[in-house]
Amino acid sequence: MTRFGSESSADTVNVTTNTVDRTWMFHVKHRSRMTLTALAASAALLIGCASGTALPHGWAPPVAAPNGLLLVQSSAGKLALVKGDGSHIAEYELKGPASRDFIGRSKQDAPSPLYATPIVEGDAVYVASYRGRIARLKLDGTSLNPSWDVEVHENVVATPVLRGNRLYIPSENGHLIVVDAGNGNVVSSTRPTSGRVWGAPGFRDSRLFIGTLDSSELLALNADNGNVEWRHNGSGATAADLVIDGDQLVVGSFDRTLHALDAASGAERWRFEGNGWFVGRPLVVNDTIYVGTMRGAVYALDRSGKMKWVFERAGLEFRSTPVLAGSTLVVADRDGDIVGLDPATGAEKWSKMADVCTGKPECIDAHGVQLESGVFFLTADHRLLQVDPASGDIRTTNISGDGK
Amino acid sequence: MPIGAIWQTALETPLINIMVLLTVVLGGSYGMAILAFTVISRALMFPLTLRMLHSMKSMQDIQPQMQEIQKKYTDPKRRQEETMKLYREAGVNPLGCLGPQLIQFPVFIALYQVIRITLAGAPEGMLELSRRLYDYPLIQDAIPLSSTFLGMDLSANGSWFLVVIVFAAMWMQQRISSGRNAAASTEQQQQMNAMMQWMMPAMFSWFVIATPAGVGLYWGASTAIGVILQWVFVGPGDFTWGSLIPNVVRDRIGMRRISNKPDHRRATARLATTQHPEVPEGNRTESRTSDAGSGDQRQNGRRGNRTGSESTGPAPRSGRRRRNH
Repeated sequence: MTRFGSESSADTVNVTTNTVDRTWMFHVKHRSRMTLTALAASAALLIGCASGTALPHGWAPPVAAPNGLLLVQSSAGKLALVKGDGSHIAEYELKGPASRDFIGRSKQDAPSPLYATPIVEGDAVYVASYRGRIARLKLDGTSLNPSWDVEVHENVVATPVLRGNRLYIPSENGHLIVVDAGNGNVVSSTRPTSGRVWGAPGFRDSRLFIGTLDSSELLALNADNGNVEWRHNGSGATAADLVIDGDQLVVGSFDRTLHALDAASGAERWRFEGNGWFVGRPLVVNDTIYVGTMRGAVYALDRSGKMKWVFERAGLEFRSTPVLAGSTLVVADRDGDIVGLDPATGAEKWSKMADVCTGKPECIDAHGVQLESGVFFLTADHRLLQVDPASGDIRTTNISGDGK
Repeated sequence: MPIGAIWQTALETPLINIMVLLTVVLGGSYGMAILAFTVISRALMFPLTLRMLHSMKSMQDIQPQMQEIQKKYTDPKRRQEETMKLYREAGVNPLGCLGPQLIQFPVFIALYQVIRITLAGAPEGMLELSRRLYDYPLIQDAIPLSSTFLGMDLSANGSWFLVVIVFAAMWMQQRISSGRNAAASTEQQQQMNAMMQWMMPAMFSWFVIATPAGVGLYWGASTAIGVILQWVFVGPGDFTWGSLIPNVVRDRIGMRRISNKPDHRRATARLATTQHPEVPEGNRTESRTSDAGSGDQRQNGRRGNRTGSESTGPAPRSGRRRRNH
């Protein structure tokens, strides 16, 4: 017999090898319950922390740079200038935000990922990280050197707008920060909306158009003085980039509807209801609007919102914008299915699975970009996919530098 | 099918949709949805909870007999046989309290995940919702959910308001549970209870700080409901509101101090008082549970001529106390 405690104690715990000591079970009932509660709560935390929810990895797409090069996010917060074959030419890492540790010492956080599409203007590249580090880099063909960088202390998901010497940066909590593009000084910061802004604003005739996620409103601001010119409610929550199509604003929404508004007045012109959330940016080519949904549909609409054709495949999710490459419309599903469609009819030409995405959900969130050598997509783990639009053949290059 | 997929399909995804639906029904308030879910889940578990509470009450009722057995039998084997016999006669299941706890844990874990997914901070998390939501316009159109409730961001960690709520609720739960069997417990058990009474609330308060406020809201509400149920169906045990007055305040207003001494002495003292009523009132020590003992008396009064712990023999001496002597 193994005995815990004193012999004469009323709560002597006896563990015998041949009997089930239920007396013991009684005596430790309360302690067992407490211990079990504590263990379960700890397990909940462990499981919760170890699995499940998506971490921010950034969906900044690759962008075309001069001389047939690409600017891609090669790791969180790091922008790399690469050739089409993925070989690095130069790179620059945006610093993480300054913060303080638990005893108050200042420290530099790890670089945060990029959601905003880098803006290439001549030899300058403007880039914004999620945690609000904004930088202007000088691109001279073989190097990326910072001209300035500034911290705006706001999360940035939406792609900024560059107009003249002003960089308009919508933040995640509804601020609009205007930065002098020449020196990085913050010119103004206003909060025209309380909702999160994730979609890239549109710009036309000195009006800045912003869509919001939480307050389900679209607003037009005078870019010169920041005054709100109109607000439109009822267009649902918007996370998609806004697209200016002539004098109308095309907006995808979480209400499963594509809205078109008059850019001057904010009046709704037409709406098209799809089968799921419109999260990707619509692509407007000539008289056709191509747009995908998170329920596996790609629609082709005319500019008045009438459907020309629809491609649907259950299980696919299209967050990235379609890319028209020659006579093929290339769309990439989040889990790595890449499909080539006939832009005239929506008929499927080919469908390929990116091997690198196998078993990795949420693999492709970034929009694609077309270069002469093909259509490029960037995966969440920083693999560059080069897709041949004619055949659908996929070539994968690891640009993360992790050697895997 | 991997266990993760089963977990997602059978528990997590339905719970996500239930929470979104509740949010829609309750006017877009995710906080209200969490509270409603808490009430619903507690209502579904009510039969089990009731069984647990009955078991707890039965345990309370057989404390005097338990004490007698502890005193009477020194042979551990015989003692446990008698204890089991007593359990059988009283219809007590010593493990009866575990059911609701065990069922609540997976729900708690799933809810933790659900809150993190539905109120996703990272943009990718929002997109992940797309594949988790059932294909009903009512549910699909509800996204994004508002994470603000009573001025709190339910997706953010570290809500001090909830820390206070959870701490208070858990402290009260521990208090009315641990004090209940104090008369039969030993010094060691009482020390353990005293420690747990503060450790458990402190630990869960830390969890509330470290997890999204929505989880804390659920835990706080669930614990509060548990306290109410326990109070209604079992009674507050030896707890009285007066025992909440600290000694510092008691000194100022001329009340008797509360002793933090182990309570088995109280049982002995009570017995001495019962057996030797000539002991002057002023010579007795009021302990936290003796103050709460008025709760027992109150219950005894309410329940008629039930045998209470105070009429039983002295609490057995613990080894530690024996060594001290």
